[in-house]
Amino acid sequence: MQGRRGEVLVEPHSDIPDRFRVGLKLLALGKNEARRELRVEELWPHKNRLALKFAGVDSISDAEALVGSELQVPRGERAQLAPGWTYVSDLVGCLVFDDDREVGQVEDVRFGAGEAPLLIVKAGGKEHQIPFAEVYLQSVDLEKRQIKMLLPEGMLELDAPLTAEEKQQQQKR
Amino acid sequence: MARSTKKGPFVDGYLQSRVEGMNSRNEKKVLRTWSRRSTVIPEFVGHTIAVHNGRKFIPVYVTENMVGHKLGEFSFTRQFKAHSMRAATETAARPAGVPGGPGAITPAGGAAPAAAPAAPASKS
Repeated sequence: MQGRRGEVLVEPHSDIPDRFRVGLKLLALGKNEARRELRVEELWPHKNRLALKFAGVDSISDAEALVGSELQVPRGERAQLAPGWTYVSDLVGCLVFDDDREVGQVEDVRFGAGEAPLLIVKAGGKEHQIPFAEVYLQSVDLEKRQIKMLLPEGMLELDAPLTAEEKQQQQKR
Repeated sequence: MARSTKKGPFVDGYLQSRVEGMNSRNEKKVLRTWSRRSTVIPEFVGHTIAVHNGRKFIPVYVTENMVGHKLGEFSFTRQFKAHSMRAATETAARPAGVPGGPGAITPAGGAAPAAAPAAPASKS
């Protein structure tokens, strides 16, 4: 810790470029689950992160109270997305249907090396990973919290017992 | 050393024949494979191949940009645990195959960020 005026380092978790600006009002959710309103007074980039100076946070001890906090904005103030894009937080909790058959509820969206993010869908004790690909997608209804897909054969049976052909292939390796 | 171009890309024979079979039948079915060493060839594009990561099969939807890479590159064997976020982050996703690249997000005036843990910092 080197700052003497209460500056804090922030790790941005937003896809929106230039998200922070002077005068921006934020809510800091602390470890004690209490929210505190803050206003950005000054900011500058610092080693792939951002250093922020908040109004009223003027000393090291003031800044220490913010360590581990999460900076938040109201849902309604999020940026508008280009067509085709959806916020991950909106996808989480949606029910996934495969041609009118309920598959489960989206618990997370995982970004891997491929282009299609993986929807982590929980159904009872089972977990399915479904590529969020246009070709399988029929509709995303965020108001009804429903994602309708037409999944190819075998997508929901990835952990099914091996077929004789697959066993043969595995042995050939 | 790079593989000789004379040989062409390596693809396990059984995998290639299964994909070619599906292409000829115009069939879309998830293929399970252990062949992480196989190169993605143009015939694979549009198929979903479930690639084993040592523990389970990870479905990989193959797109044009993946051609030339190995299948194993898209099925992580380790999971990186990032900071756990209690609240929703301002991260967006789009289905693969939709036109428009990264940065398609257009910030609206007066909107604000979702960000994460703060730590005392310095101004150097």
